[in-house]
Amino acid sequence: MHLPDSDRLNGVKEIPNFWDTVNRVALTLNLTLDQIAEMMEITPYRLRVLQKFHRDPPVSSAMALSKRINVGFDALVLNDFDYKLMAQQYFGDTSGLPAKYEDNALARRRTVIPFFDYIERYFGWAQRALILRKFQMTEGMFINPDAPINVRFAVDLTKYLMDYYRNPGILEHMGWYSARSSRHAPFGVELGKSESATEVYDRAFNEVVPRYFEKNFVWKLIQLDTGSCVVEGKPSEELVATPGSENLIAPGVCRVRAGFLSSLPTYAHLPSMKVKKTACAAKGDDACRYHIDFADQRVGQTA
Amino acid sequence: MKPNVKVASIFRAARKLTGKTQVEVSKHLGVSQSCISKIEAGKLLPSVSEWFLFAQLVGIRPDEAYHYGYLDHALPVQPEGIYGESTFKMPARYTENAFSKVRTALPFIQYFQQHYGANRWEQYVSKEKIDPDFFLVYDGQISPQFTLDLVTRMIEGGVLKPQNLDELARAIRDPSMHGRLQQDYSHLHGSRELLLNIIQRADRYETNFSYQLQELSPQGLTLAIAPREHMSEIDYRNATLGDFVCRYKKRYLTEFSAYAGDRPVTIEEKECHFHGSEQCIYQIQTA
Repeated sequence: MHLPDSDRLNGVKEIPNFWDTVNRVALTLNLTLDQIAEMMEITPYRLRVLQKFHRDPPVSSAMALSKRINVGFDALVLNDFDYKLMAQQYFGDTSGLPAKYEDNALARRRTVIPFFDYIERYFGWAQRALILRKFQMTEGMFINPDAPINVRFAVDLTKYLMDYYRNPGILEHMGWYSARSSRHAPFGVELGKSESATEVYDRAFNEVVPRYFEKNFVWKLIQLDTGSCVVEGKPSEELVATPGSENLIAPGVCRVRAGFLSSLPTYAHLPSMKVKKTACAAKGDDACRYHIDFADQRVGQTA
Repeated sequence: MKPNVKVASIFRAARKLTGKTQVEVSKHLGVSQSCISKIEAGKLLPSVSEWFLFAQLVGIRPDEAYHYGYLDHALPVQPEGIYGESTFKMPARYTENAFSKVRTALPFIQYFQQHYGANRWEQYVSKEKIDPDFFLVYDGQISPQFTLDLVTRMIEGGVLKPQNLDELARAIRDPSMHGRLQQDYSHLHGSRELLLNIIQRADRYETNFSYQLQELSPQGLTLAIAPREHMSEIDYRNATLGDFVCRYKKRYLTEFSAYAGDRPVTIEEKECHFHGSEQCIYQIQTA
């Protein structure tokens, strides 16, 4: 039996010189040798000796440095991280995102803030911190829920969670939790005025989602009556025009959306609904289509 | 635990898991064999690139292994074992019918160490000729005989009495007892959902017994537990153990149902394999 692929670092052959990376970090952050040694939890003398004789530092030093500059260990060793962002964060500006998540940002950060709350709630604060560090993110980036973010982040995060936990149910549960934890947000209050599941979905897709959430997909209620509804989402023209957009329509995000849709009735203190996906843009269909039968409720998951 | 000691243990365990010799690892890392020997003795920490390349060689995540201190791929029990190349020393008594995962033994090992101390644990495994590093591989496979022998030892030593079963089983509520599987449980809520999930994942713990859901309702479930064929070769119902296995399983399910902080379930035993029936049937009230 082979080990799961996600547990292998796939065939990395060349590792950059670690001291080049350390020196660049020191230069970028304007740190003295003594300061960088302190961050690496070794003495300045030892650092000088190791550098002089071109010897790598011990792994504990790299782990300590990775924690201090908020860069994942793998990224640090491979010298594959955003230096500008690292500097921004180090000098106190923790609001800027990595460039790949800042450009072509059509979603709002409120769509991903609950993901980290979910991770902390169910996997612990240490895991939240590790994952933030892995993506070179900080808590400061999520202070303003209306600030924009590229959907690429949700794609990368859901892919990471899928690879790491190998349990797709987590993504749906995360989507479900996202809606549930936003009860007191402005859109939650709006949806809370609904008196039936029909009204919830009507308000959600005709008013709330376009205003508060995202412009990556254009959502439409195909069918809505007292017994069920069908929701369709198509990639927006802006998303399609984004370079590499074919990689931004991902099954992981679709699962999160399904969970989110199932939880919408809880705003009106109604039970969650079971959501069935009948078409998927990530699998080549023209749109994502979700069918929600209001008689098919999720036992044990109520408001 | 000092980083040297923790890294040394994981390094040894991961190397043995993949059947690599120190020489093979040293060649891949571009260092001498004596350097590997020193790392494994805790006298030296691997360098950044050595740790990174080593993780790549043996298929572990460098961050995770470093921080958590164990190895776990959370794979189901396989009849032929999972890590065919592994070189852990183990007596034949514990390699035959190896259908239990290390994670099932963790509560017992913890209990042993709490009552006898870590030194006595090292002496015990040394005397049994078991490589202690094996117990860092949470989905390594071992015969249930190992746990039964450990329990027998503790019963005969007077530290495990019927009234201590609660203390032993309560360890199940500790996420670290489940290794990587803790991630599967931490997002669940409600005793019913937890029990259903662990029953579904029984094969990531052991396949010595079959676990069949006979009834399922909003109020609870009925579970039938029957020994599998190979258990006829294991002495799990002798004079010392009695019906320990049955009592432990009941406590295990009860304690696990409270994993997320809910009130524990109540279990009524309808039939007992240890008292004449072919299987144990538990009626479990979750509501």
